[in-house]
Amino acid sequence: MAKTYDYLFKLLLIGDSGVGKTCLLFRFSEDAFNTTFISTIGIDFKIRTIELDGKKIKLQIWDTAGQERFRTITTAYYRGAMGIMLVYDITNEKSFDNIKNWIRNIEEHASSDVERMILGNKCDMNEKRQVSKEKGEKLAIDYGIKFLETSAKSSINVEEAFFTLARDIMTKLNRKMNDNSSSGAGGPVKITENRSKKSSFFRCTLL
Amino acid sequence: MADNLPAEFDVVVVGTGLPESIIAAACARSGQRVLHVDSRNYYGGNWASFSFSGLLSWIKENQEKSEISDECEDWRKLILENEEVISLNKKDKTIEHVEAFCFGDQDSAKDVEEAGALPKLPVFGASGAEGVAQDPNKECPPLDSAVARAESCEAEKAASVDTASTVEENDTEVNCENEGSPSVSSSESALDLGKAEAAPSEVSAQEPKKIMYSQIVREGRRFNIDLVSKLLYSRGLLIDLLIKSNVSRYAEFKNATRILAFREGKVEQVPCSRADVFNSRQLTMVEKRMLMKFLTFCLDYEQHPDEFQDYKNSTFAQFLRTRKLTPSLQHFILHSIAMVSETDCSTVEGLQATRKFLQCLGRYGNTPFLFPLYGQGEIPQCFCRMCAVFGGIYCLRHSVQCLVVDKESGRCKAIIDHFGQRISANYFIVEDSYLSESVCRNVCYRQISRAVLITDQSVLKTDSEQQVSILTVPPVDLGQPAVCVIELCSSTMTCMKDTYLVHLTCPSTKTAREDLEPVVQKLFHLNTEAEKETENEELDKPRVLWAVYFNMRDSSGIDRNSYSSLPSNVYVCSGPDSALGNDCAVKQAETIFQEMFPTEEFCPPPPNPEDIIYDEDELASEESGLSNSPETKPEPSPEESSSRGSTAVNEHSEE
Repeated sequence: MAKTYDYLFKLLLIGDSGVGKTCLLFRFSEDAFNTTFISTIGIDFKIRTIELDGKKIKLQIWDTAGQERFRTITTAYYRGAMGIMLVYDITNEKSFDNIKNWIRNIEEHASSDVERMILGNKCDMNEKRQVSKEKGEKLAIDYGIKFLETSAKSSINVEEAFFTLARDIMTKLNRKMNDNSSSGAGGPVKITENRSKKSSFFRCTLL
Repeated sequence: MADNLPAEFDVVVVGTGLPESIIAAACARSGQRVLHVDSRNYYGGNWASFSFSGLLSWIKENQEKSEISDECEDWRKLILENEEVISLNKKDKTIEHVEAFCFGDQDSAKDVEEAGALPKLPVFGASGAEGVAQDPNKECPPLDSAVARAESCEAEKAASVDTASTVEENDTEVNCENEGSPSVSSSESALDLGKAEAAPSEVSAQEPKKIMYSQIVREGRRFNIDLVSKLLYSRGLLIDLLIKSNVSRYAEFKNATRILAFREGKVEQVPCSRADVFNSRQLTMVEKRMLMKFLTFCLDYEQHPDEFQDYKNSTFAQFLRTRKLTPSLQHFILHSIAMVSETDCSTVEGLQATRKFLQCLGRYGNTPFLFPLYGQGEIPQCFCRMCAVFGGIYCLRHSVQCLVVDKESGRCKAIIDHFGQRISANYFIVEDSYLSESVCRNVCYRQISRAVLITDQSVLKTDSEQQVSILTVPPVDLGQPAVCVIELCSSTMTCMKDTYLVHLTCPSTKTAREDLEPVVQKLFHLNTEAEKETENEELDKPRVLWAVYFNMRDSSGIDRNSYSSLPSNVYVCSGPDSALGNDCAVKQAETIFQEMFPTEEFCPPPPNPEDIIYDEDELASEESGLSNSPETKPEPSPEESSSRGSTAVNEHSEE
């Protein structure tokens, strides 16, 4: 099966309920916006293939499946993630304060070298703003990660955000590639139905 | 927990163990509104995995058998006149005889804390640092985290990147985040950075590194220690279900790499695949031929009834003695391949077990088994994720006070949770440990004996230290159960580098320690540092750094009628059983689901996320909020859904 991409990056969206994670996801993957999601149902992840430095990169962006609501995100969600968007709502101070807790969660469950980025979403609703841009920037600097204010609704900075994260992952990857990895034996197995081998082991006559 | 839960669901599931989680996923998938709760603050119940510090808290919790007094009875006013209540347990009583041992320098670790979770770490005590300083051959000197992040995890990129141009390498990826970048406090980084610069890639080939208890504590989050020790048969029901439901996309696995046997005081590798038999150095040519002939016969033994007809009433062990096999081959087949009892297993059962083993070979590797990366505890969570994707609502740390039963119909109408909220539903799934003693008074439970060891070397050293091994230790006294030993290496993401996690399991006859310590003593070196010098012949055995023993209740295989006065729409899921595979849990989940929804398909493949097209109308119809509406999603054709596998790292190229 020919692949239509050079790299696959697994990205996660994390943040409190209602900050607009799913809207960001839809804006980026479908260029659509809808205010009617109440919580995320039926969306495992969305895909968009982008091009960076002539390479086709398939971004597989996972949504929380609503499990952020009662803080019951499964550890399996974090496994293998290469980039994480931490999203808060600029009109909701609480969601900003909780970014610290989400970062702690990431540190506990995600791989230690995952790329992270903080997004202050809903920046189109300036009149209801509770979190200043400076505050967001400061938090990002404290953690040494990048920051953008976005609006899924007005399509502000959404492309930039995902491209920035993808580029950072790419940069890290290239550096590692150059360092050259000599990976050892038997890596992890993804199970899919096409994997099974046809032949039973003892069918052939031998000895 | 700011917002309240809806007051009505279709199905309420209490407990997040494997069968409950599969049922929750199946129900949500078929369009039911599911509430899934667990009273603990972690997923999985007795199927959970813990970091080292998490396990220590679990041990403490289970050693303190404090009763929680039920001071608040306010919820009783929610019960109507024509209703009665079935109270649920407040305290889990399924774990007993928990005994933990540290073999080494526990005192020096008293100031050390698990690293990683908190941004600001306490400065480690001098003794903690000493553990590192004593060790000039440390393979991966702790670097400043930024440096480590940039340089020492290079292999990890292979783990999560699907590089189209290197198709051949997709199957040889290595996840080494725990190998390259130990999380250390800034103070210690500074201390060690000089050394790192002096000898950036010093690799020790000689001595096995001495791991101190303080290091285990500090690297605690590298551990994912399972309460149950199981493997997935590559053609078992769980693998089938993971594939069919597409839940497999949430997990990664590692092949068990070796089947081991313990014979005449020695650990040996069992040749079981064709290649193994060919390459075996321990077998003579004649033995190779005998073994191949016998295994080939087992694969289609039903076609050759004349070969075993006369032994139908004998044990499998007796049958093997008649098959011109040398004693070592008989041992391998009986204990390591069929993994059956010498005294109670009939010929046909033994042949069946052997065939099951052989049929599972070669699907994913040279042994029949897979182990989930990050531990068995991931698997229930993967099903929970699936349930959540289809609208299931999750609450941990959420206890249920009671079931509310309608006196007239005898059916359960609702639960009342610990906030005193009444939540109604049509069906209720409750894990056995939540049922009170009055419901279980006629139930006779078995027990499982478990031990978990952290050791410094493999029980059988080879060129590669990254081995996942399964070893069956036959009983010393006939009639006793055999002990199943599973040794996990650090690349399974269940233990820190330079350690092994060893799980021992058997059906209980006594306390876990009484059942398992004799086996531990045979395979491992238990003495502390000081005594080590006195004895040399013991030196090649792996050293146990830390151990815990406990008994776990085995509530599998209990007839529904044994529970007293269970309403007809309340279904009970059992905790883990003592078998190696997961068939029991999958069967139970499917049976319960089919009883509730006889016309619904059990966990059909979900639509491919890439195929879901949302348009405005559909989105509007989802406004009803928490109700899920899978009917708004188009079902993909089977080809579309099966092609999904290619988005993740997969290994078709291996063919």
